[in-house]
Amino acid sequence: MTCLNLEKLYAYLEGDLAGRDKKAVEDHVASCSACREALEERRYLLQAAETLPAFEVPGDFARSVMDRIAPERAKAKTSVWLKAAAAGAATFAAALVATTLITGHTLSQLVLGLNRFLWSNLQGLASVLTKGAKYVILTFKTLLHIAGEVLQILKTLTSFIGPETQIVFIGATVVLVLGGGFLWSRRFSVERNHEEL
Amino acid sequence: MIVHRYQQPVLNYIGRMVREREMALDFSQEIFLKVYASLRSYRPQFKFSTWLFKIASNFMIDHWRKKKIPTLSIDAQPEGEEDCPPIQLPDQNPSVVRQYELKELRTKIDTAIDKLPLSLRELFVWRHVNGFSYEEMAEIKGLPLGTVKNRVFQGKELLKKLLEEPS
Repeated sequence: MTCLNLEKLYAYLEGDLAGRDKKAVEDHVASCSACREALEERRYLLQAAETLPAFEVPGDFARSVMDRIAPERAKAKTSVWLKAAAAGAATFAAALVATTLITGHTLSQLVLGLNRFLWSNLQGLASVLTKGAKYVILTFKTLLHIAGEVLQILKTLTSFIGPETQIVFIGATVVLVLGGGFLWSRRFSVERNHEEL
Repeated sequence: MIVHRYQQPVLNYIGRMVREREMALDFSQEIFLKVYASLRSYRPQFKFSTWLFKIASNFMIDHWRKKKIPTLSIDAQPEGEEDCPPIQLPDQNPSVVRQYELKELRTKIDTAIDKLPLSLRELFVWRHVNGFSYEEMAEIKGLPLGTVKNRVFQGKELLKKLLEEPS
């Protein structure tokens, strides 16, 4: 009777054997005390190894890691902006050099031309902004006028209704607005709870 | 959250490799920072735990290199290693291991693991403490499956011998 090699014993213990191979090991250890002892010894060894106490993780471990990641993240963001700025500056410089080479103008001529170009555009931008401001003021005046008209209409209407009816009307409006707001906020909070789950 | 999910297995691995709790905590933090910094290089077709432990293993290799441990390189091939383990038959001596109570045996294993060569210790811990499959370990280390199985086998048998030595 040939004894089992240790590799096979481990394969059996770790569940890597099946069918005939598994049966062969079981049959052999049933009749061979040396292999049975070797199997049980290694089973015990693995059982102990696999149930070694875990290292206790401090409760604030994850927080400490995240605290250290936060500056890294900020640094990474800054570095992205710096890289973008550097890339922009490099592109501008390259474009300037290329234009000098292609057009044959000197660098100072190019800078002067660029200045003129920027200045004329700035003037255009200023005129657009002035027009925009005029439109905003006009819109504001129109809205004020409309509000005045609405107030006038309300004043005329209320002159036909008695003070009791006015109080009932205002009270009903307040109740409707508050009730509607309450129902809407409840619905919103239920939807948010569903999203979190 | 990645840290919450993997802090225990990473700490168990690093703890068994360095044995000092404070150092293990520091190293584990460093590993998670490296994982964060390398997240862009992660490819979803690979298992996340495999990728994370590859980073952890490389971190440990760097650590041992910095410590300049000449004979115990974590990636060195143990002496006489071949892809197939030598056929070893059970010895006829009475079991020493089984004389210990389970709790006592655990304490002895904890000490004996520290004496295993790094290349065997790492794989033994992954297999029998972290519960990785041989396939996962082969992927993490980039080693043939046979080599990984052989090293784990050698680790177990060496551990058993260490436990049998008179303390």
